[in-house]
Amino acid sequence: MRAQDGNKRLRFGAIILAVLIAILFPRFAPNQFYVHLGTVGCLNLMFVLGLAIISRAGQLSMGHAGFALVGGYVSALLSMKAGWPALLGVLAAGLVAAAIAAALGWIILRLRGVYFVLVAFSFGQIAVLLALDMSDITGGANGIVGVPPLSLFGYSLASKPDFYPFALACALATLLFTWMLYRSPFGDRMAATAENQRLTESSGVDTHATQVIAFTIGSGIAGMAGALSVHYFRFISPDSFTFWESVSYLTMLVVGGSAGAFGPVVGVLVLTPLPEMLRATQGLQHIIYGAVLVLCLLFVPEGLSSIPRRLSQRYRATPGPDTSTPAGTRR
Amino acid sequence: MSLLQVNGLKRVFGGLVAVRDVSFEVQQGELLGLIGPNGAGKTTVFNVISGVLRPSAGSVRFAGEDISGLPANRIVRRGLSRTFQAATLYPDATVIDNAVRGTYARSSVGLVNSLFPARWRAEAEDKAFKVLDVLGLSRRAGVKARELAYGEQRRLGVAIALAGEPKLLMLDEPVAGLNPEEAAELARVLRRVKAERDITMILVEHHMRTVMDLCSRIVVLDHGTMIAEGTPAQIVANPAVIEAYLGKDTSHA
Amino acid sequence: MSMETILAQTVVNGLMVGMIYMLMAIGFTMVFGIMRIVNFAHGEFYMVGAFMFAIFYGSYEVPFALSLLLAIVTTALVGLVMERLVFSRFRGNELNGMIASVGVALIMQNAALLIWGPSPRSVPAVVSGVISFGGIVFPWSRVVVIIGALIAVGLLYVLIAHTQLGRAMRAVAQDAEIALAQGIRVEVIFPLAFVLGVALAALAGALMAPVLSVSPFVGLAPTLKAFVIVVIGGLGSVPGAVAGGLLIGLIESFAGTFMSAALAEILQFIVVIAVVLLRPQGLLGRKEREA
Repeated sequence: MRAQDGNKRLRFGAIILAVLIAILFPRFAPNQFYVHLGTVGCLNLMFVLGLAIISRAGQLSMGHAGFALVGGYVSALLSMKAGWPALLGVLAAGLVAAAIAAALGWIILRLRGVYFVLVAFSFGQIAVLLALDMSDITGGANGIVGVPPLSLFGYSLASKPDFYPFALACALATLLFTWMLYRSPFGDRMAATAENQRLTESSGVDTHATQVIAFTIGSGIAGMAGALSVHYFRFISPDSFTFWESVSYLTMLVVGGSAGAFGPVVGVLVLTPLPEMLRATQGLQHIIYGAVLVLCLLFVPEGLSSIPRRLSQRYRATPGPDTSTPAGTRR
Repeated sequence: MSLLQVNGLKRVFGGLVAVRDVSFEVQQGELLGLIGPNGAGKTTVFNVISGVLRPSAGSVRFAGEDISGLPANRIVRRGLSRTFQAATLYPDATVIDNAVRGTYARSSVGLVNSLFPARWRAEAEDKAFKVLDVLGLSRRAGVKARELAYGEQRRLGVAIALAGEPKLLMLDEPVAGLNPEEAAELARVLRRVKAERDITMILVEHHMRTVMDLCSRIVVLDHGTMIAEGTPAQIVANPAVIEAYLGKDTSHA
Repeated sequence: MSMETILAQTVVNGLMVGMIYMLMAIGFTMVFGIMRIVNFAHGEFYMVGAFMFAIFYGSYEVPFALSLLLAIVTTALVGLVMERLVFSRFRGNELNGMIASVGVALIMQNAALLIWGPSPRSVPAVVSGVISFGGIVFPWSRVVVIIGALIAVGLLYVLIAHTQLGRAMRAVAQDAEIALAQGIRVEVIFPLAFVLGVALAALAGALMAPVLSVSPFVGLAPTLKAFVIVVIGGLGSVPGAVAGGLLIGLIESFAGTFMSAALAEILQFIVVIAVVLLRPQGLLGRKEREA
């Protein structure tokens, strides 16, 4: 027990240190570009956490970017055409995205998992196509420029470096929320649904409702993060959140690992700088993403964040007999 | 008091009538056996009662209410649990975590529980430990389910179902794949569980010795219909039952 | 133009597009039915087929039929490599296999981008001119597409229904374990089925290359269409893919002619949702066992 307590204290200390570094990061950054990267990283973290929540309940949303796009347009239009304060627009964006996810999820989550993936993917594509075609409202392919910045307590976060602390706060809040969700009874029901849906259903849990709720929460987060992005970049177009974005969030999740709340942090830290550093050759960047994804799935399917745990398990002597009769589970 | 009433149950798959006109009652406190040769329709009846399948016709009443066609999770929350044939577990979770997940049948999600998960967890683990104790698994609480021996895994499956504090527990071939000692041990455990927790049970089984030992009453199916009903002594002497099993595969003790 | 002419024109266009969609959907549903893989890279093989055809027919002026054949064969080889290197390692883990297919799609699309550049290239028409039939005008190029697709589907039908290989494939699609127990060499069927699916996609791409232009980005749209059609027609059902493909092609053509392009897309999505709500296994799919 004492070793466990010491372990917990170590982890807690490490987390505090990491948060401090993140807060003080702009001081040490050589130039503003790095602060921009940090902001993008915080936004990415929110998207990936949303995806992680959905995946925790056993489903995979290949239309995640679609909800970000919807959220972005909702907030942009509300703040520009209806004069709403941007912060309110962000909340509204999250609610709209969540509502769409709830309706869509309730319909399609009762199907075999594979059908859900196909329809969720279609939703992402439809969102982009609609953004392109409804040009009176959305500005079509040109998108919407001049989106107003976020203002907090009267202070406008107009310049990019100003946005970083707010983005960090939002990302940390989302991380805290995800962590608490995973530890809660509902979070365990989500994990149980993913591990063995039939058994969980037979233990009295409405697995369909569980997955719909997870899908709603995760997509709502994507909607809010999409809205935040729009007020940071001050611009949105159908190109802002496409299938490529869905893929990159998925890659970050796979690379980081989806078992705990901190896997996404690893994935985001590893992969966010990559596009920026390889911006010169965009095609190469995408190929590397694709290769990283495939290699990770082949060799580290539980993500990089699972490596410390697996190493420590191999280090410890495993008690008990090695009678590995696999208990039958099929997804 | 009659806890479960199955009336005129029928289930059709495509063109195949798997089960037809099955009716029986289970009294509170009974241990009913459901037997029959391979393909008799026992598992189908099981699946319809537990909500995995919907009945094509007929009804199921539990504790005075009609549960025909309700989804499985709602039936479980009313107090009717079941186990599965293959060891169905959460392989990557520990034994205690497996059992905790069984308690969800009786607990609600709750906002307070979500904000203070430590207390909820402690209470759930308490309940879970008691169940593991009865089944002789508490020493193995910290082991991952996939590392258990096969016999232990079957017992864990029963523990998960029990953790939901059911009024009626249905067991689908609980001793299948166990050697004679393990089978006898599990039978002893089931008898103890039944006595300690006052649970009604239904057993689907091929293993004759276990059925004869444990069950106070037996229902026999063949080709989807009931051919006999009675005490073990009556069933063994029943000519229709003997004929149904003659020349078919049975596993004797 | 009279209303009848417009209607007839719309129907023909719908059928042509539907044929292509059908080819894509059949290949996709076959791969899923037999290997249980959702292949997000399916459209990229369409793209590679289109490029190969463009190179053989456009740049090297190889005769049409031979160009088609070469395009299919070269793309099929790429497909085989992908199957051996990546997809075969995810047997039994369908979820990760699907995610891996996304990675493959990324790699293929951007490799094409690096090799051939982003600008669309056009391929000279196979046959120029039009054929007139009762006042309706069919460009020959589109007729070629329809004929090509029909021949392919016909050959495929013969293969599936009347050869031993086809019987083996159907057995594996039904239940791979039982097929294995019956002595069917499942290890050979899998790559074969995959290559066949890829070949169909490549054919679709090659046939369409002269009609639309060819670029590394043409792969995503056919993938999406294949998904939509297969959900409507039923996962794993080839007749469903045929029916669904033609249906979607007609809907797209009609909605595009009489409404806007945006509404055409929404309409298709609504059809998907409706099918999912009313008949979840798809129009011609098999019902799942459990409630």
